[in-house]
Amino acid sequence: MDKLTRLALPSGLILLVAGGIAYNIRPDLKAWTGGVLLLGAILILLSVYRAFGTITLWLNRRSTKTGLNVGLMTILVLGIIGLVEIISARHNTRFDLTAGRRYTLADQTRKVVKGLTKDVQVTAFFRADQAERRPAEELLRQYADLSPRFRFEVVDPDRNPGKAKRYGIATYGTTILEMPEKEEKIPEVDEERLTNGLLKLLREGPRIVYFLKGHGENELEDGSRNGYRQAKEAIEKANYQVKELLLLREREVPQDAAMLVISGPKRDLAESELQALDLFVQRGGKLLIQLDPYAAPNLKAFVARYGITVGDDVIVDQYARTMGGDYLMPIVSTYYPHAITHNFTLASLFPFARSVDVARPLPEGVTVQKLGETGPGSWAETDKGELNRGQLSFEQGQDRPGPVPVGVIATVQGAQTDAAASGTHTAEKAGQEQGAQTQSRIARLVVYGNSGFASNNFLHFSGNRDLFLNSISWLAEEEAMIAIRPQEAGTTPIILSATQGRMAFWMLVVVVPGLFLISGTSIVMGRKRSR
Amino acid sequence: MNVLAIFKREWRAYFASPIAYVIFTIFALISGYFFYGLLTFFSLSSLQAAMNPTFGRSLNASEWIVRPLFRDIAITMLLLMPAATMRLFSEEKKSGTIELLFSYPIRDWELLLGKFLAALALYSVMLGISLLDIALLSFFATLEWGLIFSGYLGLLLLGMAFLGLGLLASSLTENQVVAAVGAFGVLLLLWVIGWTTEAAGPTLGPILSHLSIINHYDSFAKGTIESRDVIFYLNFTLLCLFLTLRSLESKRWRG
Repeated sequence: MDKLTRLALPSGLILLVAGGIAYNIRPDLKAWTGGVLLLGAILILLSVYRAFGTITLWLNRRSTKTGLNVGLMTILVLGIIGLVEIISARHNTRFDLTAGRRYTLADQTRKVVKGLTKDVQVTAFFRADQAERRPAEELLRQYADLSPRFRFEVVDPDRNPGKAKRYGIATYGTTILEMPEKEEKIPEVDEERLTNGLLKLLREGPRIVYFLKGHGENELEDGSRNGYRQAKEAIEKANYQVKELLLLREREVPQDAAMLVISGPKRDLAESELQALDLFVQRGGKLLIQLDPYAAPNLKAFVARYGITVGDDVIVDQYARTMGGDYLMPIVSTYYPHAITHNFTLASLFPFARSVDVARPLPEGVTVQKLGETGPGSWAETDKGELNRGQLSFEQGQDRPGPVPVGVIATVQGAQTDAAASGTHTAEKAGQEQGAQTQSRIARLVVYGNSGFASNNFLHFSGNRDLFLNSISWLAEEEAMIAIRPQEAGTTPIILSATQGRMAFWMLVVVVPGLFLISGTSIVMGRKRSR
Repeated sequence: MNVLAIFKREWRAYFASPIAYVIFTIFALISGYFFYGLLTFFSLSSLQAAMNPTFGRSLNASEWIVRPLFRDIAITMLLLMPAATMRLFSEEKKSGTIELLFSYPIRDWELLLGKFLAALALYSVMLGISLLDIALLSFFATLEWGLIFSGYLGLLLLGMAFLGLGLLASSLTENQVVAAVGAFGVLLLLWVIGWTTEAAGPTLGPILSHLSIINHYDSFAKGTIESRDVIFYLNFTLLCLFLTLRSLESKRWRG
């Protein structure tokens, strides 16, 4: 009988384990594995019953008691450590010691994520072995650390084809941001796209950027050097819809316009169009005006009403020549503090630009500020004849000496009463919905003395793109979309000479290990000999 | 005071035998070679970028050399540290000197701490050797010292975890080979445990990923210090040391 007991315990244990494994592999064989588990349990209970006397004796031994004590204590410590782990994993604090704090999320991102009032579920689709997966996961984790409302999951579309199909995932790296009844798809995971995706998800209704047409403005669909297709794509990537507006036909700027862009018109606007623009500004509209030299004089008069002086001149920049450009491509590297130029360090290039300055005195209810200006080696040339002859020289008293401002911003307090503005009902309603009625009454203008800087040819030059997109974002009153540019580590290339390379090799791979080897051998040998 | 005495005894023991020298030599050789490889690759990339500026990559020495170097050092330590801890208790058990130690008026934790600190000192010297690479690199490029600091802090914490587990393994057996292989095996398993996260599903996956001993190092290597990673390593080390203490104690009550 004793032999039977001795057999019952191990076989019972084996059955329990085997049953458990079998269940894990084939959950469908429930009844069968259940039987095995039951049999195992019965065998163990039987052996315990048979050996009850021995067990009580063993339990009463001092070493057993101590052992049980130790066991309990171990479990307790394990529990505490587990608890600390869980708490620390959920409440993380990070210190970024990198230069330029490149692993720290932008303030704007923090504001957006911390301010989440609804749950956002983010699903990123990455192949398991994809190089971009880790950085994306790290970034998402940083977001999730900011708010419990932000949850994310990284899914392999190859292993979860159902999920991938449900969201219509066509390429790796695509990420879905979801809120109840809303979703937003971004093609890649980086901070700018993620945060702007979040903003778009949180935003009510579409935001439309209108481009005025009918006066020889830059073409949105034009992919050539002077076209604006890339600018259009960049604006769309920043979550706006881009539409064209023929003001002559529409007669007023549509109510759904987040802003209107007048980009390099070559001919004058009709009087009715100017009136429509005026009305637009009065009801708190946002305008981006890019005026090339010697074009559309009546827009010059229009912006003058808002304290902006546009010069009848062309900016000549001697410094630009030394950079390999033309005299007529002034470089702007001095910026004045503003949301648009915040943290701006890159120069921008304005091919063929005129001066734009702040008028003195300013009309009432208007504030105007310079954005940026050219360097000291530049001036604003007023003599068109000189320009045509190609012989440019600065004439004291006639030309304006540098630095020459090329861009200004203006804010205009809406003077008009509600009743006077056409279509105010809808505007009013929209204003109430936003809960920021007074704020939306303030019109914003950005005026540049050039439209070429955002053309396909120049958009990607240095700071041009940022300046253009920041202007758009500021006009749309979405400063949050500004300043989230990917931070990159500074470039510190090393080019070794052959001697330096060989020196590094001999030093680190031969001499240093060799010294340890020799000193070790001599000391150990010396000890042996002295023994 | 007892801790210091134990520390001195173990420290001397490292240098009386060839262990310390072998470990230092091998480590200097491997880390030097890794560094040389990274440096020449980076130099080549810099040359290519200089010839073709439109390449447009940001060639940062800290990101391209220091960060991978830290990871290589971590792998080297994974291989070498079990050798540094294997004999700490096993040898004493085998030769019977542990009985002698137990008869001294030394508390178990003092014994443990002395041995742990001795191993940690050895480890720190190894990290010091790798500083030669950094020093050499600083002649060629401007380095991000914040990133280097956090990388070394991470290596120190990671090393503590390695040593803790090594001590535990050593306290469980009187065979040094078993102690070394056991510690190495468990550490390697903890190293790769995060690899199956994807297959493990949404509940078990994050737990496995959290248990992975190297996943917590990534943030240090890239120049950030995260509280949860610091706490993980400290917790891991403390748990190992606690279990080692219990294992030492068991000698007394098991008889």
